[in-house]
Parts: sequence; C-alpha cells; structure tokens
Amino acid sequence: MNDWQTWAAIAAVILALLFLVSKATRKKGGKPSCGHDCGCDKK
Amino acid sequence: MPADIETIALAGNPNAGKTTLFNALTGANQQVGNYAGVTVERKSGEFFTPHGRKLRVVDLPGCYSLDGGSPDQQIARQVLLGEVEGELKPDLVVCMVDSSNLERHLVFALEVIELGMPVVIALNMVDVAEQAGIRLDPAKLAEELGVPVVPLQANAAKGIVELKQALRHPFPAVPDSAWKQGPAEQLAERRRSRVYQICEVAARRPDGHTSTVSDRLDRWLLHPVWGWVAFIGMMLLVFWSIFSFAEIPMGWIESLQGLLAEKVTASMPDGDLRGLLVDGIIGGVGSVVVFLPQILLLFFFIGLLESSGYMARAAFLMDGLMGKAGLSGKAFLPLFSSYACAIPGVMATRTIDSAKERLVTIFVAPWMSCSARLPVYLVLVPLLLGGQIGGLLQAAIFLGIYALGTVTALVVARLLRGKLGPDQVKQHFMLELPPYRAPQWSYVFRHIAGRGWSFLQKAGTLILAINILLWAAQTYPKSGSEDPAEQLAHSAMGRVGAVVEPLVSPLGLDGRTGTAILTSFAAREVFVSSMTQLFHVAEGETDEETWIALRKQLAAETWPDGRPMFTVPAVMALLVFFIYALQCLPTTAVVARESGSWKWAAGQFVFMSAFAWLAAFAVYQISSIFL
Repeated sequence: MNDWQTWAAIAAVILALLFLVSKATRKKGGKPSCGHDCGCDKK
Repeated sequence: MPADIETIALAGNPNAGKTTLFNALTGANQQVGNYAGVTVERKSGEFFTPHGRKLRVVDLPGCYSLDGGSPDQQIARQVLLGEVEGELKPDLVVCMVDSSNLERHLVFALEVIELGMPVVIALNMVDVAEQAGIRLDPAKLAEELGVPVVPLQANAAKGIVELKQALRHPFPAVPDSAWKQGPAEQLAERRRSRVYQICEVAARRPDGHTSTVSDRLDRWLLHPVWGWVAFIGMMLLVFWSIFSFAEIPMGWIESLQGLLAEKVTASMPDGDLRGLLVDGIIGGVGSVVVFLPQILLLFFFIGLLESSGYMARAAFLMDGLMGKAGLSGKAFLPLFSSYACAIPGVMATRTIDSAKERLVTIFVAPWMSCSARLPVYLVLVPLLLGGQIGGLLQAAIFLGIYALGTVTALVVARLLRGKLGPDQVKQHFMLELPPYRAPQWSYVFRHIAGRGWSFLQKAGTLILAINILLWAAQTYPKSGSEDPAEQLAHSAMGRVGAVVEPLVSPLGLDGRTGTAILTSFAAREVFVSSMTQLFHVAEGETDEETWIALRKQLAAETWPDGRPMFTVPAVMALLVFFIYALQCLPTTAVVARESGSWKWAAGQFVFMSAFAWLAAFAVYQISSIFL
C-alpha cells in the first residue's frame, strides 16, 4: 500500500466532488453578455 | 456596450445566406450569446470598411415576416425597432435577398424598408438566379426600392468588398415608402402587388418556365411514394454509415487508451492513485470518448443534409405525418436534430410560430433517441442476440429502438396537443425550398467541430468527475478483503445498490444495475463505465475487448438462486427504460429556459421517468410470460 497514493486519490475525489457541487449550484442565466469582454454579464 | 461604433443589422428570410455573409464579413471576429431574457441566439462581430471605419454587425434570426409570433420573429422586430434591453438600435439594416426567389424575399425587404431606417439590399445568389435564366437589373431594382442594391455571391465571397463600400458614410437616406400608406390589413396585399411591379421591371424571367435541376430532383424527392422511399433510404444510409465508418477511428482511440493504461500501470507501483488513473479515469472516460467518431459523423450528416437543401424537403415531406401528430412540418427539424442531441433540438423549436406546438415539440423531443444513448444500446443489444454482433437482426433492433421512441413521441404529441387545445390564431406552415446546392463544407465542418469540442469538454469535466466519484464509491470504505465481490458489497456503491434494489427488481434488475442507472441520470454515457466498474470487469486493451468482457460477465451473472440475471426480458426492460427516461440534466435546464417554465421542465422529467419505469415494468412482466 502506497500512502501517498491514497492521499492523492482522496484529494482527486474531493476536487471532483467540489467541481460537481459548484456545477450544480452555479447560477444560470443572469444578464447576457453584450458580446464584449467588458464584464457586463457578471454584474 | 460602446456606442461610438455604428451597428449594422443583418436581416432576411431563412436560407437567404445571412450567416454566410456574416461569416464572410467578420471572419473569426465573432461573439455568440443570447438576447436579454430569451434564448434566441445573438451573433455579433466587427469588421472594417475599405475606408478604415469599424462597424459592428448583428446577425438577426431569419424570418419570413416581422409580424409573426415566433420568438425569432419577435426578437428580429424588437432589435430593428431598438426595443431590446441593452441592445442599441441599428444604424443601418443590410437586408439579404435571394435573387433566385426575388418575389418572396422582396416582400420581407419592403417590410424592413417601411421601418424608416437606412437600408442596403444585399442581392445574394446572383449565380443561382443566372443559372435559372433570371436576368436581374440591380440598378433598376435600387431605383424602384429607393435604396442601394449590391449584387453578391456570399458563399464565394464575391461582392463583399462592394457591399462594404456601400456602407460608407453618410448612410443611405431613408426611402419614401409610399406603398405603406393605408389600413394595416391591406398592407400585405399592397406589398405583394408592389413587389410584382418591381419584378416586372427589374427582373426578367425566361420566356416559358424552364425546369431547373432542383425542379427535376424535386419531382422525385417530393413524390408521394418515391419521396418517402428516398427519405427512408437516406436515413438508413446515414445510420449505416455512422456505424461502419466510425469503426476505424474508434480503433485508434481504443489503442491510445490501451497504451495509456499500460504506461501508467508500468510506471507506478500498485496503489489507490494507480487504480483511480487506470480504472476510473482512463477506463471510465475512455469508454465514453470512444463514441466521439460516431457523434461527429451524425452531426456531419445533419450538417450535410441542411447545407445541401434536402432538410427543407424532408420537412415538407414530413408535414403530413407531423399533422397527424398535431404538429406542423416545422417540428421536423427540431425532432430530427434531437437524434443527435436533444439540446440543439429543443433550441431549434424557436422557429415554430405556435406557442402550444412549440411546447409540445419541446416536451417530446427527448424521446428521439440521442447519440448519448448509443453506447448503452451498443452494449445491450448484442446481449439480446446471444453475444452476436453485427448483422441484419442487430440493425433491425436498432431501427426498432429508434422507431419506438419516435412513434411514442408522435402519439404523446397528439394527445398533448389535443389537451392544450387549438391555437387562438390559425398558423400556416410556410417553408421555403431552397435550390439544391453543393454543401458548404466550411459550414458543415464548423458545425461538427463545435459539437465535437462540446462533447470532449463534457467528457473532460462532468464525465471525468462522475467517474472519479464512481471509482471512489466502490473503493471506499475498504473492507480489507482481497475478494472484489466482498469489497464491492462493503463499499458505498454496494450499499446504495442495496437501497435502490427494490425499485429496479420489478424490472428484473439487481441493485448494481440500479446504481448504474442512477449514475446515468447525470449523463447517459456514464452507464457503460458504471456497469464495467460495478460488475468488476477487467479492462481490456481496447474498449471493444472491455465491452465483450462486460457482455460475457453480464450474460454469466446469476441471482443468488442460480437463475440467469440478464435474460432477454430483463435486457429488453433495460433498453426500454433508456429509450424513455430523461436522463440528462442539461436537457432539463434547457427545457426550463426555452419553455420559460421550471414546472414544465420538472413535469417532463417526472412524466418521462415514470413512463420509462412503467414501460420497462410492463415489458419485463409481459415478456417474462412468453420468453
């Protein structure tokens, strides 16, 4: 058994979980972009 | 939005060549988004005129009139009138007109001119008009319409410089549109007679009607009998090509995957991370990515049929059949696109005028078997045939699977349409049959490149994350035993399987298959990799080997009392479940946006899931009596 491998695998699992949670809770829609990189869609 | 750059709107009927002109003007300098509050796609870009002036161009959705009720028509009208929030009123409109179909397209052009804005007419497809023997007089046309007219051939980038020159300052004056005087109800008639007058002097048709190549082809392809024979033959050819041509590139992907797994196994000591990399990531994601060639081919054929002009004929042919389901021919394209993926299919319903027909089409679109279901079918169907792969029987079963989803969709559409009641305003199905053209390869390849990239992104993010969690769920908590079956029963996955077992046992399935079904609600493709992991199938060097091993494993699986588990009724029930269940969260999100109602999307999800379970239950219970 390689301990470092266990920890690395667990870290990957946590990252995957965080990714899925962020994807599920990310706010959809909002103000659509004007087409320019001016940040108006993030307000 | 910077107001210092002037904005040009590109308007026109569908198939006038707006998007081709838009691409020719802007090149790669494009931004794609949505209009505020609606999901009608907004494409904009920038370009320079020969005089060095920077202009912004917005590609409006194609429509036959500005008066219609479809979201596309409404947004086109609102943008032109400057009524869309956050959108500047265009300073000039470039109205695309198909020279070979001048009468129809000029009616829309007159509508645009009546808005009282500077307009330039882009007289597209002059080559097609010439071939049809139509002699155009652009100068006369400009004189009659009171606006500049630029002849061009957008697909060959001819006339683009001339068009850019016509956009120089000052913009053309607003023409005096005398025909627009009078009561609103007479306007349409006035426009038509005005167009007739204009065409009399500006476009000379050949004496007597000469039949074009398109006319001659349409005699066969729109024939009540031969048209259908050609249509069915073409669909069979498409599906056959998808399965046979994809084999070679699929082999490459499998070899690459085998090579990667081998390298990782050789370079790392045994441990959890190696297990995650080899079984969870390379094996799991690889078993999904291997379908990329088939998906690209499906989009290639859809793009080819659209670009060549045949898709409009198919819609025309299908109008009668769609009518029986309470839909119009306009629903054909969204439903056909859904065979590739329900998301673009649902989005394509925007061209449907009737709100009720649109809702019904959105509701049934996910029943067209999408490409994500393919991996599941490819693994399960040979199980019905005792492991035999290929052959006529397998092709017939595939056709049956697609037909079952389609027929159910049409029957439910009919029932739902009856329930929603008739439209308040009678809708007419109007479809333009563009001349047959050589496919625009740039359009086709842009189309498939976009789809391929989005599939890979999904595989590299969502599917990767799900596979990592799946691997973890069956690896932890550890039992300490070397026996894989004992480890699985002890793991989180084994425990979830035990909970969902009562739900799937009436379908003839066990808890592990139930767990694999649960994981596939995020993305259907995950089912295959879940089954591989849950049934502890050793990864082969290629996916084909893995699937063969998976099929062998499934065929050998038994219940504790020794009865075989994956009998023909159980596999049929599983297939039926996958045909009907809405196991795609992105589709539900898009349905909610397009229908403007989360209730509609949630209702669709619950209805389809319940329908899938009941249908699978009925299939299993009834077929168990006979088989």
